Amino acid sequence: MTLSDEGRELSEQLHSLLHDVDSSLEDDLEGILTWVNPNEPGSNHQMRPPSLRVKSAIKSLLNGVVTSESFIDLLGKYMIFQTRKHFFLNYQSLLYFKDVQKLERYYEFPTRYVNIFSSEEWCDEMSGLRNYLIRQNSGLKNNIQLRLEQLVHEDDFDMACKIYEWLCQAEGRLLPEILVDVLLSKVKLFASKNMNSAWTQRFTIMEAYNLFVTNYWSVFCRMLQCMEDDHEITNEIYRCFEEEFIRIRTSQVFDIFVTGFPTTKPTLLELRSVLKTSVKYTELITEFLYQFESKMLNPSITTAEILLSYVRAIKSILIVDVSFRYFQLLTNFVRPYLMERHDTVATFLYAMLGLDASDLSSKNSTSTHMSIASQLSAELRGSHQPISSSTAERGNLPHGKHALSMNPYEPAYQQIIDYYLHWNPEPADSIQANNDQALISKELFDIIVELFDSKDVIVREFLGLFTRKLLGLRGYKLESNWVQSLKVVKKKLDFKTYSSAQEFSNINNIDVMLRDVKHSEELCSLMHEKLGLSDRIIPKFVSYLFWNAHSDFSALPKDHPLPKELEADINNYKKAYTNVKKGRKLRLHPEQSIVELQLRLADGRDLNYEVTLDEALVLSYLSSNGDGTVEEIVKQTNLDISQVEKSLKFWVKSSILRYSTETSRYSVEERQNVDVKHAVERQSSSEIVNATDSVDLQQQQFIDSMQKVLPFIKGMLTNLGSLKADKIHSFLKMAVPKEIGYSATPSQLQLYLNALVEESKLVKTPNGAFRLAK
Amino acid sequence: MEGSSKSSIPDGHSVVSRLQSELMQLMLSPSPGLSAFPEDEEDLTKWCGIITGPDGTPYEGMRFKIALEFAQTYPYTAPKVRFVSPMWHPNVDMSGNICLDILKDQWSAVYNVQTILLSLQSLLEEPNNSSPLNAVAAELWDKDMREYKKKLIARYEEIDD
Repeated sequence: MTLSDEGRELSEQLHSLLHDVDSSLEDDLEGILTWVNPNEPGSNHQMRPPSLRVKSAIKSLLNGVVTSESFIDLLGKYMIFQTRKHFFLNYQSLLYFKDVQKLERYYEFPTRYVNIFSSEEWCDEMSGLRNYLIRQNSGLKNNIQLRLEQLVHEDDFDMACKIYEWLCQAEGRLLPEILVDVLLSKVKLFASKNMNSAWTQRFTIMEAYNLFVTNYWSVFCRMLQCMEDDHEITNEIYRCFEEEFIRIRTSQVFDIFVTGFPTTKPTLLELRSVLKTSVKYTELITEFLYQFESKMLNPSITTAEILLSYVRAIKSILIVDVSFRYFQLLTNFVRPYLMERHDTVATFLYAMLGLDASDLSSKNSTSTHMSIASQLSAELRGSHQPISSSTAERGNLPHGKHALSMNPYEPAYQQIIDYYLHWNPEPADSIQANNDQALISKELFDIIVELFDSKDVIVREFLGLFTRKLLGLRGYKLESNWVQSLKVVKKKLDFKTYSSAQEFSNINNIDVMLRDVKHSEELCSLMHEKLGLSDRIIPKFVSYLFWNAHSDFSALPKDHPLPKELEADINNYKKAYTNVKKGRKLRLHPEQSIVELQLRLADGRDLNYEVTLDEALVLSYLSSNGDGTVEEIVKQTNLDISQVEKSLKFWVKSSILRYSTETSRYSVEERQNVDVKHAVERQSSSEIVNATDSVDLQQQQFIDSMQKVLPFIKGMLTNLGSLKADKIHSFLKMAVPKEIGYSATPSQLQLYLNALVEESKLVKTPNGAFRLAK
Repeated sequence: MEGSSKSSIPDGHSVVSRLQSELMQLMLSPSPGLSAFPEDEEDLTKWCGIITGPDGTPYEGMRFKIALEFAQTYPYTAPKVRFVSPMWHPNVDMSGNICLDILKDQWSAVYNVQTILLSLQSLLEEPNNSSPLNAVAAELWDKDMREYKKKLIARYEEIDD
């Protein structure tokens, strides 16, 4: 039997029942049947109260004398049948809760007037349909749950409760799992709203939790049908807030570790109190490394910026991680990258030792660079003091980060028993760290020094810096911060523990240098005052064997013809020195000499320059001879062609010299060419030359430094056969002595080895190893 | 050297720094035909070396691998040196052990890896036939050089890189 058959049959049965009683009412019956039938949308109630005719028909049929019980029964069956028919034809098209509500109202509407069902009967019928609906229409079910979540997010709890009740009715039971999901997503939303930017507050979790409980807990209790003081659930919610806090801070880790540091200290302290498992720590640090890499470790970031963020990160990690386990990860991660940069050690030293940031500035630094350098310097100030006392205190806690925190809602004895009975052993390394008082008193300086392959790197760079500083010193007074920094370096890089005597003597070279400078001052005043030598010369008498860190003094300097007056003065100094220091000879080192020039040009320009002796000699030659080609200048000044070209470039750039392309000769530009455009062009072209020069120079320096280790490479390949690049790298690190110095990174070495293969000095085997060419 | 080796070692002595400086010397001013290098970057006390046979000797054009092992007391005690490559020589036994006075009782702290290599090279040139480890080789060296060379070539193995 089809649906329409059954409908028709019910209708016919009703008609025949009525026919037996009063056939005149059949029209009324037909009107009612149409009016209540949801399947006749064109002619049924249409959610409007019945017309008078229908109303009176209902009245006469249902309340009249004709009505029998079987008739009412049959009418009820008819209505239910038609409702079901409509439902099963339409339930799949229901998408949203509001559609369901609409439909339910549509079904319910006629029952208000044709009041033949008890409320339970109708509710049972509806529940059955709802149950079917929720089981069969999963799209609708999802939408309703989403709507519930959305309403809770929007704080519309009235509607949310309605939907939840409907859902419970449809499922025929309470639905705590859906409610818990909604609750958690609300917690998540609430936490991110309240915690996201609260970096400067200490008790964010507690505050957010309290606010949440005040605002929402009573509603959720009603929905969950639990007691408001059910602490099992509230504790769980608190833990969710903790989890959320960790999740949010982990995602912001770079900002709180680096960008916002040190104002983020409160939140770091809070983070420390909730990070309880090594998994969470690992996640935090992994995320940090990931963000650090993408934000900092790229070529456009200056070394000072990287170092600054590194130092801040280390400080942050030390706050968060009391086990001192994780900062090493960062160090290991950053090390290879920083080691590729040639200015790392210098930048670090300048900042660490609080030397004037302006000393560091190279030609291309801008004010931003300077401010970063001074920030770095500020971060590192006091870094050679033990790590802040708060860290030390933490380290002294009986169980470090697992110290017992009391929960006011549980009996104290229970918590104490739980705490001591549920002890989990920590990984071995952390126990060691916890007990290692030496590590706790470790200073930031030491941690950062570990960034470098060895202390030698720092000592070497420091020596270089110091030597350059002393050689470039005007007069004999060294600024106190340099003296101070020497003390720090000597103290921190404890040389007594070094097995090799080489470094020991190296750092002590500085003492000799300082003594030389002091001695020079005495000797200079003696020469100026007593012997009446020219006070335009300020000599530094260096014991050259001890000043080798910066440049090679042992090679005999070339003799350059000096201007006569200067030559005479220098000779006087030489004689006087041999007189004062019997048996010793004074030698001029032109490459270390600095000359102050006062230039007066024909167009009235009065200029002061502080230049190298090369530059002064080139200018002096041209000024006395009028003009000259590069070759002539090289010949006359006995300088290298590269030095001459460099000096010429400098003077042309300074608009002191002019180059004529027709004659290929340089001459002094007594009258400055006012053609600014010309000047700009000239300048920019010379800058390009300089830039390419510096790249070439760097490459040349690298190749030179690698040439020195070539014998070691040959030696190991002779004896050990073929080796891979990383093996060669570690052999070189072990074998090459400090005084030769091997500082290349594995990738640089690889490049060099490939270059040797191209030169047919080496052969690359199919497995990527290198061996000597036969 | 007198007394026990331990008592005569100065304080602060480090075999590693000594070997490191020897290595540098060896690398920067190498002797032709001689070379040595540590086997392992973690352990400087085990080296391997290569000696090329001197011209005008039966060993001409041949290359031999040797192993050197330095004790912590080096250079106050001699290193253990032996041939790794199969060797046919009056003063070298079939296991590669070498009978050379400076590696035994005539050792002095002034010797170093370079002098050892040089001594071994000259041992190839002039064996000490009065105290042979390989009596057959000693006899052939004196009496039948052709047979000696034959035996040598039969035993020689080229170093495989």
